[in-house]
Amino acid sequence: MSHVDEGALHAYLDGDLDELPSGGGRAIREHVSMCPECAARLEKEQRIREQAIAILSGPLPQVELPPLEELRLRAEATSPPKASRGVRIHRMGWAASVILAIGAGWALHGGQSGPLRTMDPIDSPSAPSALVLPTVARDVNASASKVLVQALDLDERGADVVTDTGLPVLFQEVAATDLVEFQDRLKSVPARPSLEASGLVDLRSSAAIVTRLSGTLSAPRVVAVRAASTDTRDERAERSGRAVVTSAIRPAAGAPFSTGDPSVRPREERHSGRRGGDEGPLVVLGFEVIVIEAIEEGPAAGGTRALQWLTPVDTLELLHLPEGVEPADLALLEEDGVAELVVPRDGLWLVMRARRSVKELEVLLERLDANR
Amino acid sequence: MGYVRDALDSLSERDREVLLLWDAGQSYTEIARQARLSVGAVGTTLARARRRLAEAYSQKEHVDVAR
Repeated sequence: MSHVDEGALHAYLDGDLDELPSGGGRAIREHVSMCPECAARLEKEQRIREQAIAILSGPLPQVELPPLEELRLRAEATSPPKASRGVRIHRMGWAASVILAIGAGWALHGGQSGPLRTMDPIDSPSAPSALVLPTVARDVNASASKVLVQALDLDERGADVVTDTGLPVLFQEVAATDLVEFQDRLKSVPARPSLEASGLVDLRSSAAIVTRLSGTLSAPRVVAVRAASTDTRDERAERSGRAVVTSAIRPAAGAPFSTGDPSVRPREERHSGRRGGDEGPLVVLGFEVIVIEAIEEGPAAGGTRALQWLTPVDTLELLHLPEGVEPADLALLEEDGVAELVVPRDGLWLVMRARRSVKELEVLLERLDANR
Repeated sequence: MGYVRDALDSLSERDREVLLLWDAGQSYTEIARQARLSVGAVGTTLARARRRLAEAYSQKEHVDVAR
């Protein structure tokens, strides 16, 4: 075998050798172990790598993206399918489409793949390319280490994001223009103390939102999407939107909503028969917390629901309560294996929904309250 | 912090993007998808970006010390 090139040496150092298409990871490892020249180069590259890590581990500068209009023009110049998106942002009614996929290498480890479309565009017969994912892993990956937001479609009112995962979040394949707008909107949406009281983290209150170069926005704790709450009632009537959570896992013990009750086990564990969480409290997956913010009267009446799906594959929808329906009417629903529990909390309605029994939800609620 | 920014600014847009995606925790395959590179090119790009980052950072420090 000829000497190992520097790219493969860095893949070796990064532990990504097996991702190389050549599949020669083993041969490279063997060569490096046998070849003094390559071993010396490896040491040199390792020093460089460590230097870079040390430099990047310092406080990264807040990088300002170019002005929005410039980004839009650039996007239009380089990507014809996205050309209409900038226009569409302002033409659409309420619509936010965000794909959240949690799991390092989720596309790599045998996840079921298939085309997914986040939503039908309101005003266009063909969906913009950014709204269509070519492949989406649908399984939960135990090595999850990040949340990937793969499509982001905003109208002028936008969406906001909350989380309790503690996982880093990357916005991938999202137009820089949308990222800029998204970030602006995060700042403009009023804070919701109830979220924090429930153990969730309001992304907008996090100082750790970092705009990276190249239009990547990362934030440490994101998992759910909800509608902005600044709309007028009439505007709310036009709302529609959907996000698809393609996979979700919360591997960290002690996360909010975790419970030490062994009878309450993540759905995945029950399916696989695995028993997990021996080292700490079990992390509860597969239930949803919805906060109903307002119930108003009139044709456009509807409570805004902030949904948090923690199931591996589910659809996250921003809904209205039908006219005349009160939150109390939704309490203790249990059908098709999905239970819903509605309880008042902090002047709001907390809706928990899961593919569980009502009894399990009650246990979860107790745990949730105990953690407050 | 100014050194870091200057050092990053000295990289090409592609090198900077790949380096920061890697720093953000992405795998080679994820970086390749995001940066529209082949997976094989990610390591090469990273190697170059890291070397240039270290060089640029070191130069900035030396210049500052010399002043």
